[in-house]
Amino acid sequence: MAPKKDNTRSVLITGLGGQGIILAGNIISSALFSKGFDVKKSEVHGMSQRGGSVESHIRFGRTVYSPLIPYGCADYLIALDENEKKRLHRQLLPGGSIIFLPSENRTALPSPRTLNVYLSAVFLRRLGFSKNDISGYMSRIVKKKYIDINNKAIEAAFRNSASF
Amino acid sequence: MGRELFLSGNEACALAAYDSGCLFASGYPGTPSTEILENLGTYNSVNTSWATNEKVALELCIGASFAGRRSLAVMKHVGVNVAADPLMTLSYTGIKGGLVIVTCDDPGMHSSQNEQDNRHYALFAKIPMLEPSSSAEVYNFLTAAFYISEKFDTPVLFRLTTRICHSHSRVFPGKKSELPASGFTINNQKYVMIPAWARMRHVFIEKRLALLEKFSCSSKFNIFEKGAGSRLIITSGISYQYVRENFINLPVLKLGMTWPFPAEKVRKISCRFKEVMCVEELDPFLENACLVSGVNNIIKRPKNFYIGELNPERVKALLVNFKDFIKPVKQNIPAARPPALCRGCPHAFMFEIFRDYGLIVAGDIGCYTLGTLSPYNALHACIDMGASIPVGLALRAASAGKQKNKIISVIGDSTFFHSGITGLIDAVYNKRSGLIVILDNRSTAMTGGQDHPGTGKTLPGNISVRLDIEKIVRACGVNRVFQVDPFKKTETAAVIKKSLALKEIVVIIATRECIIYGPQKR
Repeated sequence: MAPKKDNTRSVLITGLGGQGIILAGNIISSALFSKGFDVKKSEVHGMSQRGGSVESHIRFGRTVYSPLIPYGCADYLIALDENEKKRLHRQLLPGGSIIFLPSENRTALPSPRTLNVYLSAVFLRRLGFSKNDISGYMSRIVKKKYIDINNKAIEAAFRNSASF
Repeated sequence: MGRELFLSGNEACALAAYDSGCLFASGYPGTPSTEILENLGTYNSVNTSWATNEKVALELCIGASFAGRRSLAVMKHVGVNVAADPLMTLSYTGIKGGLVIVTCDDPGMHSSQNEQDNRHYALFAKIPMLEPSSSAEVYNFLTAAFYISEKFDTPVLFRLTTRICHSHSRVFPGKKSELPASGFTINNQKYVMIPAWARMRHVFIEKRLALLEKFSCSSKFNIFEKGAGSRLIITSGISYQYVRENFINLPVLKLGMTWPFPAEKVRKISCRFKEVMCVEELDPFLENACLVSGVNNIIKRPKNFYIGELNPERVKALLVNFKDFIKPVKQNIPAARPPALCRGCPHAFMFEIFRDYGLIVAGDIGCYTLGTLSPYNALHACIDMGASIPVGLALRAASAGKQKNKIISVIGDSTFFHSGITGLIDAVYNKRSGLIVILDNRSTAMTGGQDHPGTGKTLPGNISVRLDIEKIVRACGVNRVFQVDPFKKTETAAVIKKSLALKEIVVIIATRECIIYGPQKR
């Protein structure tokens, strides 16, 4: 997981206000930052919180310049909402990956509100992060009373993400 | 190597202020600036407050500065309009303890009513301006800003934009400074701006600007990065990152201190190139400064670029094709979902009533501005903080016929404290008539539920006096005041209905805590 000399990689997280997009972005970016990558993360808070579309852009590599992902250059699209997935699909590079859990499969989650942590864990697992590492980053960010339920979501991600 | 942190621009700003020995900070919540003071509020040693408005915030910082304390005034771009009165004369008096005014501009209007370019305030007030391009620069530049302020006896404008405020990147913090308080020194010719002494201070300002320009030319804020090609790019702030994202090898003059404009340095470097292009967000500020400085090989950007936020693709299109980037049109792509009032929001009940009665609503700044969208379509004017009362009452007075009794003013609790009260006093004094509805959700909800004089708590979370809106309204001379509960829709609707045609000022206070931030506060 040492920083490579390759180009910057980009992760776009999307969903609706209230789904915890910013929290997912914080978990993922702090995980990447702790591995020594140069990381930039950008999102807009404020009015868009009120149930509107929310995007978090994360970029990592050796040296990152723009915090915003250039149009059509996302390597990964993590979508918490079906409509947002469709809307931002064109931000994905050809051959890029989508990380999404269709609503009919969400019964695996300990609670629908843990979808953000679940998908973050699926993504980080792919990059080679361990369950314990992810749990550690999550625990530092979420409120104490929500740590247990989110650990269950991380467990679920490690059980199920083979199907992605 | 020292500590390395991953911080947003706002977090870096708060940490830098703390590390610089800033002991006094004030502002009013406003996206994208809010988190700066929220973060500073976590340090017990810093006197941090939500002021009633930005003018008060800056005036507080002026007092602290005159006592020799480093102080920080924080606001969004439109907040500087409110604080402009003290700002313009603060430039004359200068400071004692370093004073920095953070302006957080919102290109693209993610959460604002306009996208004014506050770089003009530096020119207007004749004060230096710094524009960092990353969280690390926010930290380093703010530390330097206090130094500049004290060295040149001037307030410093620290200009951030949404993309700097709300982007996280790495920061290498330095050591914390501890500064002793020096106290106030009586010096009427400096601190009392009567015409005779202000005239002398204006002479000082012009000298100060000349010194600052020299400083800017030789400072490490303005760096020339060599590269290949015959075109020089001059850029600042986040635009620099977009240039580098696309072109790692172009020659770039990166300006961190954009006012006073380092004319000499820019001229010297520019004449080595065939052409010069400024890559900047919003107004042609650098472009104009180049022209005034005698840089005559400049290519002006197409005017499209005066509008909206930049991004990597727009900058690429500008530099490659001298055109703006237009997203390709594709079929069957869902639209972005607009923001909406939350489910269970007490304001929503009120807007249903306004809609059902077919009222014309002069609105204000807050979550409730969303009452203008479907399914309510029940807010018909929104200008600036506090405008609802004067705009609505004059709209009513100047209207005729049936429309007259359908016009009301709607304002939130925090906005009422910010600048609604002056409009209300005017209304009573000038014997105007009309209905004013105060939507009191006990929170500055739009920006994340900050406290205000009506919540009984201060920024660091201490218990304080809770100012009673009804008592204030009555003290302003309003005799007809009604308290309603938005959840009791039928009763509330009846009170509104009977208030519409009264020939005096009527105030209805609709109180119900914010559905999101209310429960969090308890």
